[in-house]
Amino acid sequence: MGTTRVCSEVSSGSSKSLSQSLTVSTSTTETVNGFHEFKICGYSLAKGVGVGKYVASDTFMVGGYSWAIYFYPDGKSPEDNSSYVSLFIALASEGADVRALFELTLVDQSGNGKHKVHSHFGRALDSGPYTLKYRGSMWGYKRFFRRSSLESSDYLKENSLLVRCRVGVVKSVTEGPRYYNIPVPVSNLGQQLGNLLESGKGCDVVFQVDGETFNAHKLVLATRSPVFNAQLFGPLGDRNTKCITIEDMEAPIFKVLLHFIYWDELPDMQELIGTDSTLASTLVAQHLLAAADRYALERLKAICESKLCEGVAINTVATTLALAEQHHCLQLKAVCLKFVALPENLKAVMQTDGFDYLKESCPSLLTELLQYVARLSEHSVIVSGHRKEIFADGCDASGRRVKPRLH
Amino acid sequence: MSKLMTRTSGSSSPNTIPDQIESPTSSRSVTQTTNGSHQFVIQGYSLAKGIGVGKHIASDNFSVGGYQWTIFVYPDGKNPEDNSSYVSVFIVLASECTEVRALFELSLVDQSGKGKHKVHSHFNRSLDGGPYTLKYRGSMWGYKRFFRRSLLETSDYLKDDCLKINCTVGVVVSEMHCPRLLSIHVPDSELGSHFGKLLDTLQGSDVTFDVAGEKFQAHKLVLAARSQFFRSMFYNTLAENNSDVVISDLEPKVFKALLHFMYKDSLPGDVEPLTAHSFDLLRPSEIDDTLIVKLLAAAEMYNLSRLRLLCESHICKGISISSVSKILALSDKYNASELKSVSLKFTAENLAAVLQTKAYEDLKDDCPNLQSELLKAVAGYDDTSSSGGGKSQSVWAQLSNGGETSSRRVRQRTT
Repeated sequence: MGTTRVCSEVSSGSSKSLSQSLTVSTSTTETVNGFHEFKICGYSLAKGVGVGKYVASDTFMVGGYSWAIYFYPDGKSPEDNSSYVSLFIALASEGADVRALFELTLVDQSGNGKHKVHSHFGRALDSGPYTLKYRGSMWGYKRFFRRSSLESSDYLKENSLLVRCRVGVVKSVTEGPRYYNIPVPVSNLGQQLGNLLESGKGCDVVFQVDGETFNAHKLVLATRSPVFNAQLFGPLGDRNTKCITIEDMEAPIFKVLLHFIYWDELPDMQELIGTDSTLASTLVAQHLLAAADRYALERLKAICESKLCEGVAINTVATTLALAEQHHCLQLKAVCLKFVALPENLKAVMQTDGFDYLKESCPSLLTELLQYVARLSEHSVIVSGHRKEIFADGCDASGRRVKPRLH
Repeated sequence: MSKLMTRTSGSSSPNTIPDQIESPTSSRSVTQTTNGSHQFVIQGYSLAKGIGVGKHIASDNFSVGGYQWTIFVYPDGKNPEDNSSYVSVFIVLASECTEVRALFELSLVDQSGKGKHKVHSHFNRSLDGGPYTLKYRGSMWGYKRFFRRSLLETSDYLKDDCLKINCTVGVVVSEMHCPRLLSIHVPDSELGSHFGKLLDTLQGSDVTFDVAGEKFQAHKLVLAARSQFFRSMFYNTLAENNSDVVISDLEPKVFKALLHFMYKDSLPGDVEPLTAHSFDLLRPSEIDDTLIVKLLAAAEMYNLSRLRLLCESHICKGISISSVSKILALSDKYNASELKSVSLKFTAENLAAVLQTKAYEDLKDDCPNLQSELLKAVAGYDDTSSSGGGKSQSVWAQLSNGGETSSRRVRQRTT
């Protein structure tokens, strides 16, 4: 049971959700369509022109390309012995791999509406649209119509033929409006309030802290801290308060507190305390944690917890643990207990002044610490049955340090 | 035994080997992934197929873990040996960079509602070789034989000639952690919600705004902090004790939205939600009548640059081929420079389609000066061109400055 709980804690604790939201883009492939009518007058004079010889229409534009209709009165292919007329649509402009759909209609000129239609449109195409590879490429039919039938049909009227052509050039557009986004910078609300604090405009309350004076705005303090809200605007508060004396806090700590109330972030620590040592940062974070708890600034409290967690060390962990207990920082407390309970840390921590302070101020924590130590030992016993098992920290069952195998 | 080795599933690489602990304060590397997802919708599959082996359709770029990615779909397959029998799908690294390690998931969506998606995923699996490494821009991961084409075309994955592919990328990142210690999550800023509560309760309010007969209570301090306009009004040494202010150039709902932004630093909930086609069927006058556009005008009036950006970013969601010309005209009218820039870029990249829209015809007539800006966008004209282009630069600048090019266009008067 204890083992399960330990594993569960490890699993859930180390999980992080860093997911981003789903973005969407759409590729739409469709055709840009165009039409052209080609009237062939004087059919009887055109026929007999010879196999492979054609009559060409004017060029017309569809989808950014030029096209033309080619009519072969004696057919395009020698093998057909001029038995058929051929009809083709050709790409007339420079272009490589132009994909398109085509429709060729020989118009019934009698008014009966019995047109002869060959069309890609509105059909399921097994291999997709046709690809014209270069200028001069064609699509059409070598055997569009048997010539003898054509000459006695309703398609021929007053020695004229009428061909109607439709071209649909395939176009692909990928739309992803979210790629076209305008980034909005992070909020500058804190900066603007911070500027207000520095300018001193509209200040209506003065703080006396540790011999130093700080100007501020009641409304901002009340908005950001429930404790200040009660003190300044609550039923028992004094609305006419103009001067507040803060006891038991050092001036630099109050300065950081005030900065956070306006900026919603910490100032640069090195600038504040004149050093970037971890120890000094930890000490400031410890004092700041107490101040944050005092004024119910939950986010500041979490920031301090996070900083103390990062800077946990032998010589400061006991003091931090005591603070975590006193100010109900459950996560920080758990982190500190785990750190102290490690075999290689326990003896060293117990020799620090902080630990003496811990014993005196929070004796119940020693019981919890023992439980953590026991839990770790129990965990060791359970896994010691498998000799080849290597602990996550690089120790084997007997406690000797073993380098993890690298692949 | 296995419990000791238990790791979080999904976002954690199982191949991590912890460093040896040298001292109590040493740290070790914990590897996890930053995840992002993208859906690629392919309309017009029947026209896309037959494109040829090795030819692809590309999705838009999307951003995950600080890198740009795109999805390539090969309707006729990527590999000549497969004789167009298979559709290929790949995820491509689009950023200029080296050695990006990532996990991938490709999912072909079952559009019948049965939920039988075809999923290929690295996530929630033990990876023998670890995450995949993409060595340079253009490297890709995916499947040459993602789906057999003949089966695809009769399956539930194809609906109304449309395919949907969901893609998730998990970029491997390393964070240094204290030895076996947890990190403590710091919640997001609540500054906006704190002051928002102040607006809701109106505790300590000291100024009343009269907007077309409707009264709004507010706090001088907050407005002064947020706006130079109000700072001058309330804290100027020459100012009277202004406890009653009349606003004559805004509608009540716009002023209310303005106050929301002042206190909460965000757009209010009653701003119209926008998708890529929200503006397609609206006339320009109807677009001008939306709350978001009126708020954009107010942001310009009161010189609230962040509110202006929030509005521009929101309107940007409404860009489509049908609407971009209307949005371009709008951005010109309200000096929305970011929105204009994005609209010009979109238009340049979809030029043929946009030029055929009705909205573009109107734009051509109403805002002829935008034509030269559009040409510059299409030509990829760079304002920092070399001295050889200096002459043409001055010509362009001269043209784009000219309100005189059309007496019909009148810039909105700012009070």
